[in-house]
Amino acid sequence: MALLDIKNLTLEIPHEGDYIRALDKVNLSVNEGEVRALVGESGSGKSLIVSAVSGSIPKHWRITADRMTWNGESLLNLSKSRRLQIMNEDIAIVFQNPLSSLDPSVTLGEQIQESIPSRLVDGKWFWQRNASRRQTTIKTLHKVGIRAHGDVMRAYPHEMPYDVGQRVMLAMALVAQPKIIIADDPTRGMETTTKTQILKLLTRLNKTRSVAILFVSHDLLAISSMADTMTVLYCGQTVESGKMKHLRKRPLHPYTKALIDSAPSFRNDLPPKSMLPNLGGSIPTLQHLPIGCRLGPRCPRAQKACVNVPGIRHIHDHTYSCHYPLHRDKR
Amino acid sequence: MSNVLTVEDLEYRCADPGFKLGPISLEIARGESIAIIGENQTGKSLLAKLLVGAIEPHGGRISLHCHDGKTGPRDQSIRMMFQFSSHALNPALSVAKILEEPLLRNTDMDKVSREQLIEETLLKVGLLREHAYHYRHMLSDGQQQRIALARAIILSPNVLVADEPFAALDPSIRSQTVNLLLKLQKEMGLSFVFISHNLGIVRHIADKILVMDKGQIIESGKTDTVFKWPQHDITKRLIMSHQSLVPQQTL
Repeated sequence: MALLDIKNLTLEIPHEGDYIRALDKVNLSVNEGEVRALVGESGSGKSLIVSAVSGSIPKHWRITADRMTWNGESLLNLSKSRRLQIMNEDIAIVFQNPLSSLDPSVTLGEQIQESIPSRLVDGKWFWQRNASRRQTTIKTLHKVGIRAHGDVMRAYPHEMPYDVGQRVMLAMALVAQPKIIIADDPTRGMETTTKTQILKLLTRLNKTRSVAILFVSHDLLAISSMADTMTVLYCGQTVESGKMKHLRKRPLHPYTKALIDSAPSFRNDLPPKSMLPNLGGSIPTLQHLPIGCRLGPRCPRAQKACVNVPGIRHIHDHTYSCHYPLHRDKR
Repeated sequence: MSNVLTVEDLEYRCADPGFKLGPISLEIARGESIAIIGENQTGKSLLAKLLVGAIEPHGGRISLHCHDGKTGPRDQSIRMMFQFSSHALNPALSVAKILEEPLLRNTDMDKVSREQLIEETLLKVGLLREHAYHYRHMLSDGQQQRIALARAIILSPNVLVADEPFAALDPSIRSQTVNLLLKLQKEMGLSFVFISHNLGIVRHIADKILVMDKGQIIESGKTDTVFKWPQHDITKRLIMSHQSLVPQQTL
């Protein structure tokens, strides 16, 4: 059963008296114990989906969905207390920028200890409970690969390098023992060894405790090493979604193909210093979104029909929305 | 092979007594791409800044074309692209002004020929003439990167030093930038020194790799050799962790 299930999520942002569709009928589901990757470039609305799930969308934005459920419970009209409870116990989110999402006036140690839910703290008296909190914090910091836990716990967010901040965010997510971890670009700006370590940690959590992971990123190399399934977003539209290995072997949407081509490591036959295949043009800004299929102006296969938004088509569990998909020319 | 840049026993001591860069010696040949890889805080950016002369070294020599590093042609024959190209562009100046600055400071061209060169350079990096009137906030990430590149190549240098030129870019824009750099390198015979964490791209475009740790170059060699037979433990770790991400060809 799907743990997190989103169908036709549309998010509209007011702009100069009009509404811009930042997310246009996005579909996404994460099953129990699954690692799903959400891939898209900047401005594709990956982070908006994350904030929509966490309920941190400003009041004046319009959000509509056919279905947005957590374990069968709708996330759209939750009471404040119930939402807090779900966010505290079941869903953990690792936000993109640790410097802006951590409290600058509180030490990292205190912040981690604060995010431990009280049901996971042992002891009856406050000193016992404090000691238990501290123990859990140190253990989790070791788990995310921070050995000098003392220094980190005493430090304020701005005193730490970026990747340590990211690990602390991850530690804060882990202490609550959630059912799903939503990681918003957790490996951005990390060098390869640290990145592999974080990815291994997430994979291990997934395998041993069967925590579901929604891995939001545009680093295809990282994604392909750990994800089972992948959803590709472009400018707020779901473009293609399916099993990782199907998508890699035979992408049906031109955009997915362009993404996969952009990582030279995927191909052994590519001679060094050759030109990489790519899409021309740049990612449109939210104010100037093209109508119809939003890849249209950049797409090498675009034709007249592409001014209409293509419907979703299914081939087994592989869905795509494109009028002229690759590999499907001859019927 | 003619060397464009020779570095001998370059040294730099930081305020922090635990860290010392160098002594480093290296040679860069014409038209060669050299990648500097290594973990964070190992002095990669510092080395890049020392090479272009943004920071004065405490010892050693950097010679370009057999001239001593401190004399004339240095500003023109080695240029740098900074780590965050969007932060390195002045938001209050138009693109034309940004590109004019190096010309004003380093050449005695008149206004007409300056404008002409700016136009040519914009076209060379794949932008339009009209972009000269744009300001930073009107440009997308990829375009800002192109402006940074245009500023670096406008004096037609021999060596281009870039600090993480691909890190902040989205995949499809990144391929465009890689292609552009490869094209420019072919056309202008540029030597290209760059820092990157993305080993996939390093493998694709670099001729030689330098691996740094604790301010020292611990391993250097041809890209293929380093990737296939890494010698040092740290190199092994870097390569291994990259390879573990690369899907094995099971398809």
